[in-house]
Amino acid sequence: MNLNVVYPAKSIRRDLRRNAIYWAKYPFVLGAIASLVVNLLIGGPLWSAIVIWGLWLIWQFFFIPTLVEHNRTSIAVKTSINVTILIIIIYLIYPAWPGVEVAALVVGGGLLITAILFFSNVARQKQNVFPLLIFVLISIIFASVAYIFRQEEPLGWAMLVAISLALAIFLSTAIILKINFIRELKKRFMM
Amino acid sequence: MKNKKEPTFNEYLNHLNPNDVQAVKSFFVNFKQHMSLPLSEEKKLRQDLEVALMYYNAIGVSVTEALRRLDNENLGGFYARPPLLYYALDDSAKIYPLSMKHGVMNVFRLSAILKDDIIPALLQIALTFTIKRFPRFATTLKKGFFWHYLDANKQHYAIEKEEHLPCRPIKVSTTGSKAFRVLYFKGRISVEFFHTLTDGRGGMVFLQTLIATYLELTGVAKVAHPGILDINSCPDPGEDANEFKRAEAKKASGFKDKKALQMSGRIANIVPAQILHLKLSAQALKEVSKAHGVTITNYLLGLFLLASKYATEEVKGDISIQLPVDMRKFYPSNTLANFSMYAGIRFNVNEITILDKILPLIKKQLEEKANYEKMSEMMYSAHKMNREVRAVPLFLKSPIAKIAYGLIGEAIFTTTFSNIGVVNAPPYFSDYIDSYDFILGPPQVNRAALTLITFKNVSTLTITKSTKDPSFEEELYRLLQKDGLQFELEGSALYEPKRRIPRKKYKKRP
Repeated sequence: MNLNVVYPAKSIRRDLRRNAIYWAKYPFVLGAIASLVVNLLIGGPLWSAIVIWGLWLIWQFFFIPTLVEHNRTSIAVKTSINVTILIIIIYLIYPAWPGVEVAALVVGGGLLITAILFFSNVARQKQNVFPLLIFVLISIIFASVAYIFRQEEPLGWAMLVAISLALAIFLSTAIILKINFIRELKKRFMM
Repeated sequence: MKNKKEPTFNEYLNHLNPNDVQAVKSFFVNFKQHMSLPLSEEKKLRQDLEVALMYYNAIGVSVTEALRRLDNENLGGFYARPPLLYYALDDSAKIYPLSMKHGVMNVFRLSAILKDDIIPALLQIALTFTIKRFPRFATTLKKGFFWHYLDANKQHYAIEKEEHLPCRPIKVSTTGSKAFRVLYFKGRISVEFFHTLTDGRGGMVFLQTLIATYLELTGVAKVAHPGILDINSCPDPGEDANEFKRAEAKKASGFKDKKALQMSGRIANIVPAQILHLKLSAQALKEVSKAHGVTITNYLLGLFLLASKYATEEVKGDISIQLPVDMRKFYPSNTLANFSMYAGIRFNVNEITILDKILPLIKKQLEEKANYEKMSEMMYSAHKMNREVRAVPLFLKSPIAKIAYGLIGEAIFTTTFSNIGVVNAPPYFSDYIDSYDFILGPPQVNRAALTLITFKNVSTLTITKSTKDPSFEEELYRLLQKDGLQFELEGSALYEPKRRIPRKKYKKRP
């Protein structure tokens, strides 16, 4: 049967990410299981949790980026939250350092970077305000809880910095977006 | 780029008489009144108008006539107002963003093949004018706390020259990304939609309106028709309605079923592996179906079952064909959102013997499964299911939906056959359009997806293939020819990855 070709004759490149996902998933799963097994066999602190979270971080950022709302605000938020969780995990396993305070500083830094990325092009980024607000909320909860339990520690001010930054960003966003701020919340919580 | 463009338009202005120059300048002053987009977007729209004016000039259309065709009134207030609207996804659309994976997205394509090559400058203007009448499509997909939703997104919507795979995934992740694309290639205008935006019927209204606007820009007088929306009329709220709420059934029917047999052949690395269009005479197809005492859909389902059986090496199990059903025929509606359900036609592979034996059985199944009651029950199920999980946050729903979709997704069918029917077009379209195509996105488990669309006397049967194995279509050709149905075969070559050609190793001469 003769076929009349009516589509542009382009040779198509392989989908590299798809192939990477296909081939990398086995080493990643294997790596996670192996670290857990080795950790359980040799005993000691649960360092495999750090390995597993680290692998999950790499997997999320390099192999399966978010398919909806993958913008600079959401990337900054996601990175900050994931790195903070990693620090907390490390701290829970090796508690001999001020891990919570460092995590609070990372949260503060993350808030600052996210806010810069957001406010530097607010006309376009206002569509992406929700991840920023969620991050602000998480930061306030995290830093407040941390402050209640660790205000006596030498780096206790780190939590206050994070809370202040979060509140400042929240207020700035509300002032700049005005009525759109409420509208944005209505959209995002639509059931 | 800027330096190259401006002198060209200035040159165009320089050769005009003072009255025309004044008219063009006034036109752009008026254009400015219709804009409140960011400057970069406004510039793109302005450049489109400049290119269109130069095109008209090149083909000898007077400035007055060109300005009449490009009238700024066609922009309405769309580009001058802030984007405030947002749309909840309908009950059927909610699963699509939840179930997508990298490289896997429910995309479908509707195309019209015009007699003449497309003029990109005018198609671009046609899209700029048309999109404002479809505010639901001028959106970007966003994540809410409970569901995804569509957020108004006012920008320059650009057409694209077709150079890639048909129905490739649409990037919906970036700020302001759109969930559809308009493509052109020679005489073909195609619109590819992410299914979350609309279904075949809604997509067809958009394509028809776009074509009517394009033809009007080429100088064809527009005639009002129910299948085409007036681009300068106000959008009707009913066009965005989630009609699943109207389900009159009170009994829910499940979506679950057992796995179906799949055709043999390895899923290709690049999907679709090939697109095939069989252009049949609509009249002949109707007559052959009538001779068998069944409808066209029923007749073709019979052929597909036989061809599927031929294309599988399995001897046990069921062959099942998913048949989308437009719910608008049961619940009249002008919604542009998704409003279709599906019926599953299922046969044990050993029951599929000869055509005349299976046709009455298919007819019986169609009557039982694609009727008002069954479809209403399914529609009610979809609505009920979404209501029950509506308070669950999206980050929890998402992994569950992925697993559920994996269980009740494609694997319970062997293939899908979507018959969109006869194109509802005004009579004057026949003078400019040869035929229409309808392509379903490449399946990930099934080896083929099938569609039928009819315009004038041309019924286009399209096969989207996910495997190189030619058994299914070869058997289908044979079955059609056996019934005396001749067809023209069009499509794509096999899509294959670029291979590196090894360099020849030459021996050094002594």
